[in-house]
Amino acid sequence: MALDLLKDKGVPLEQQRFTWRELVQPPFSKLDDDAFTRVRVILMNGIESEALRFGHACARMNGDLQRALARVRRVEQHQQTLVNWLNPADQSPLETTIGFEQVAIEVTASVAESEPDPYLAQVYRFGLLEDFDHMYRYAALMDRVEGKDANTIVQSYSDILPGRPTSLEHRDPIDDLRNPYDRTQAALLTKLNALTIMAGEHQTHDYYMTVGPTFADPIARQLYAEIASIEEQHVTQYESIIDTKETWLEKWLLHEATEVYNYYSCVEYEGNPRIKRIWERFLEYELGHLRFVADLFENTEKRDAASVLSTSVPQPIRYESHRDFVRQVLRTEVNLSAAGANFVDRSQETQHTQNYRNHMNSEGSPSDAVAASYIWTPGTELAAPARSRR
Amino acid sequence: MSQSATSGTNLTGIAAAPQRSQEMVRGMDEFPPSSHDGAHSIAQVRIAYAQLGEPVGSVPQPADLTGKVQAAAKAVMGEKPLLLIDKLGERLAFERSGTRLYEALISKHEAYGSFSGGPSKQDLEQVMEEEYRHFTLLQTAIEQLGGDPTAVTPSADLSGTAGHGIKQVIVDPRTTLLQSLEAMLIAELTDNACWETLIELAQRAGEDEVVRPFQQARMTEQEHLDKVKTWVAAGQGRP
Repeated sequence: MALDLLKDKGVPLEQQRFTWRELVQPPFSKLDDDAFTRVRVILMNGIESEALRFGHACARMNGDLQRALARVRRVEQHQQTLVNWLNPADQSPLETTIGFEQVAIEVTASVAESEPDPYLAQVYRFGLLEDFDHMYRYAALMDRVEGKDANTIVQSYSDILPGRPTSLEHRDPIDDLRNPYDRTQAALLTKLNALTIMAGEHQTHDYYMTVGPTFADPIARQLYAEIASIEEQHVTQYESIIDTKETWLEKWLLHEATEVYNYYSCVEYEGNPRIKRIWERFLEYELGHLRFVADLFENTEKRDAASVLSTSVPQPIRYESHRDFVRQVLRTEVNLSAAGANFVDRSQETQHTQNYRNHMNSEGSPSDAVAASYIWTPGTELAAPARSRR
Repeated sequence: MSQSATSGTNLTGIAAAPQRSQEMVRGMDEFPPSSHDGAHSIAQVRIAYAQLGEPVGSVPQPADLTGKVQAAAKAVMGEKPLLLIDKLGERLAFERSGTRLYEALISKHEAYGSFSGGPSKQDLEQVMEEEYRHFTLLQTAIEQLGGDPTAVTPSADLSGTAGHGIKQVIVDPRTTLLQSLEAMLIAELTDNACWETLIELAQRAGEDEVVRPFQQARMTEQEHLDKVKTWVAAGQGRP
């Protein structure tokens, strides 16, 4: 399917309508649907959540855009509802969490491989190894507290192995800030990648902050608190790579282009025909939003939307296992840390980061405790021939 | 710390705030409901969605049904070929989670200690080991039938959803050993009933190799149920 960001008009905004029954559709099957259907649902919920977050921030700073923002945002909110409500009720918060980390591994790996800017590709690989470790810690939690196998969720697409240990990921806030791309020089794909991953990570943070207190086990409550803190670090990292000199309307235009790009990627890979029809419908809706904002941009800023967007859509996000790529990154970059915007060997970390981490871990590390000696085994560690829990 | 609930400043009932409650009740007269038809409206929505016919999921097809195994599987499964695999998967998930629940009960015991007539740590460790052995027994049985013991069957999935509340009670550090045992009683009652189902399904097929160890497991689970009932009664001061 070939898309033209500047010519395809999609569904006009005024024709984008829902009923409550449409918003609440039957969910996907946790047992029978492909893991990447869940990955897409989780990511697209994050993409729409970012659309709302941005829209509200923009409205608070730009009175003259409030009417236009309110109209588009209402549709985005309904899109988010429909997408997020595709998660089934028998998928527990911890199982959904495993899904979030699979998003962070596989989508970030796809983005890291496609990113044309070498520094930003490094940024994505850096974050990837940290989320990769979160998967392992949550899998240990699921195994040891609930007696469940996280692989029933990831379906053997993603490894369940230690990455950069979560207990070592805690850094001084200043060491989470990165250098931004240059809005005048960066490729469109660079901008779409940054918005996609920032959106996903922000939603991950917000999800952990919401479900963390619903767990009764203190080790679970601690682990969610610890990993939510890292997700805040990741949001700090990923929003800092976006050029702050983009105008509000330019940012809005890029948000809509990111949504188009993401729904397009979903359409290209979705195997469930019912869910695919939803992605197709929303791709048309987002093209409508993009056209609406492009007109607004051109009329307001008196410059061509083509100065921000290119006609063609980049290659879609690859919804497939990136096992080999991730393992190679793990082998070569697990010992990296950050000093300011630069990536350095752990031995060269700043004193601020060391002090911060040492204090945070001074009364124990939840992520170390939950996964002590943990080795993922098909069917949980209780199924291992030699019972490793003993 | 007392094993039972104690008296305190519970604010949940209307008696805790009689004047505010009366004001609320008086408000009903002035501000009536904006829609009508009672709870029937909820039923209509439920029925409409149920009629869409989307299932929770399916039972995975046995991957390795050959020769004698295939014959045995057919015999055991009878006219409902997937029911036994579904229910075996359910028991496996239950016993595996049960092992973890007893681990948490042991932590509770270490934190709070026991009570007169309550379990010793060794009592709980023994039950945990037996839950684990039942898990491995089911693993072997599913493998013998050509099934995949790592798969989540629909019944396994739903029993996990149903058991969520039991786990939440037991792993909550604020609950006592007695309160946790009361939650465990729900699990043990269910476990007993479900082992009976499994044995009946296997007996119908005349598959003694499966039936005998299942009957032994059922007897052990009956002992677990009796123990938990006795501990709970002792904790509540019932002879």
